[in-house]
Amino acid sequence: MASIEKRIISALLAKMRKRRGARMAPHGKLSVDSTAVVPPARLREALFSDFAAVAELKRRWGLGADSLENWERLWCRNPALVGSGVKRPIGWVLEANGAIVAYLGNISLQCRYGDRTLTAVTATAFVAEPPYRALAVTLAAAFYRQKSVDLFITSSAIEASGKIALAFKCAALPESDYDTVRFWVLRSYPFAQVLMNELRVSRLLLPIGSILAALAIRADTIIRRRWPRRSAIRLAVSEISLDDVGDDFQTLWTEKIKEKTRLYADRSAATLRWHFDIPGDRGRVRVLCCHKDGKLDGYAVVRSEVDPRAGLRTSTVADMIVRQDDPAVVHALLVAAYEHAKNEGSEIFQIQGFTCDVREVFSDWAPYQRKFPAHPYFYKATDPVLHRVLGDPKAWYACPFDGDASLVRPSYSSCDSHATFQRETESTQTVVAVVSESERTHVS
Amino acid sequence: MQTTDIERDVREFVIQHFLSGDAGKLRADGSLLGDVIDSMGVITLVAYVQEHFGITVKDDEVLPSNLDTIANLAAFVERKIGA
Repeated sequence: MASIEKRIISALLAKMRKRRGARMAPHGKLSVDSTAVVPPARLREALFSDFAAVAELKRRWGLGADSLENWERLWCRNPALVGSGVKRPIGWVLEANGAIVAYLGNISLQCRYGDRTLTAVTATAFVAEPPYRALAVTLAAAFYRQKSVDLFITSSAIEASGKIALAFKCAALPESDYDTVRFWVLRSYPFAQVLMNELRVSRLLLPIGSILAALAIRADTIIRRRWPRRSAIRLAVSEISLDDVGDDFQTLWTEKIKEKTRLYADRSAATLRWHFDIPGDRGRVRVLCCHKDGKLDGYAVVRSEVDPRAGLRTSTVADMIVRQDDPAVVHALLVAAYEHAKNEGSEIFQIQGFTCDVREVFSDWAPYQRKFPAHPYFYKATDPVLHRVLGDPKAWYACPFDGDASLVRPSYSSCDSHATFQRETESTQTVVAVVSESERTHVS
Repeated sequence: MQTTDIERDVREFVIQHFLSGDAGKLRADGSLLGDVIDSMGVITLVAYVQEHFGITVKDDEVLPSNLDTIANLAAFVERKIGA
């Protein structure tokens, strides 16, 4: 039985990857004429006036649309920069014959570790034209040689980006499970349709194939009981918009960072609002709040968006902070997030990262799993002592709030969900399907 | 060590490791741009020159002008050895 299943899986994967390879063909020039002379490139800091050329380069290589408003948000209204007096490059470009042929964005962040406020930077939107990919590493070098930075973060799931990060003495996040996304299929038929499309099932067979696959997914959901369990402790959860994030969030954040010495990305109220307020965002961000005795005890930020290529609406827990990591509050927030995703009409509800204590809360909800194609989080602390301390998984509270994973619109992001969907079984994890795997950052 | 010796060693490494031993695939101007080598290849190349020539390449020396052709890389290595 296992052998048949493996053969089916192998065939599915081969077919999907073949199609993925074809789909990953960029929208611009494809081949490099090996006899043509490639003009030399020079490295320089990116300027706001480069916006149009960079946006076009990103669009050509599938990173999606960008906007000048977003650039202003990232570099003019960034709480990590405003009022700090610090000036940092917005990124770097390679320029050849007056044209921009490669780009790497540089976003300033603030992190907290105990009572220390750390200056952090994260790389974003790494892209290069094929003839200049040899020199893409010079952009990374510019990023890593920045002065007065305590922490460098790369949240890209592209294998090449990870290898470049390692070459610059970064370390992978010690949390071994961080490259795994847990998800639940909320609407099996649309999900099955996408699956059939990925498998290139013929149009004639598509309806019946989708129905059969949807039935199989529903049966699997029922048999394995893939949904939130009820808790003996009932806590009320309310839903607010981003604009309503106020002083109670600031109080929770101030108290949270005193609880344990862990590395947290800054979650002051102003930063929270800025982080998720993305100009032109097609997604919807809602904040779920759990109060106890009139006091905010925890919140979860859920972002819902339709993947423009697959057409699947996905709700993601983009952030969650709970006082003392109270499991009852975590449970209440995640149940509410799951219900919110259903109400949003999402086909998928997913969670990535957080601590093993948080994951323990929903471990018996039997989520499916998918893995990123490469480790999606690398860091380098300039203080060698801190770098060593961060080698302990307990020093982290990593989630999609970190780096640029949820800071830029998913279609801008360098941290794409290269989805190898996996099904969790009692003792083994078996690959069942690859639903999508498109490399949006193109640095080979 | 002469620049020509360094250039010969680097050229040999590039041909063997990135061009499957086919020297004909290397551009006449020794440019590493185009489809000769990718970003990971440059990292491999930098690791090679560090080990082979006993130099340390600093982050601020990873510049296009030091890496875009075999001649420029050889000249950079020679400067490092002489420094």
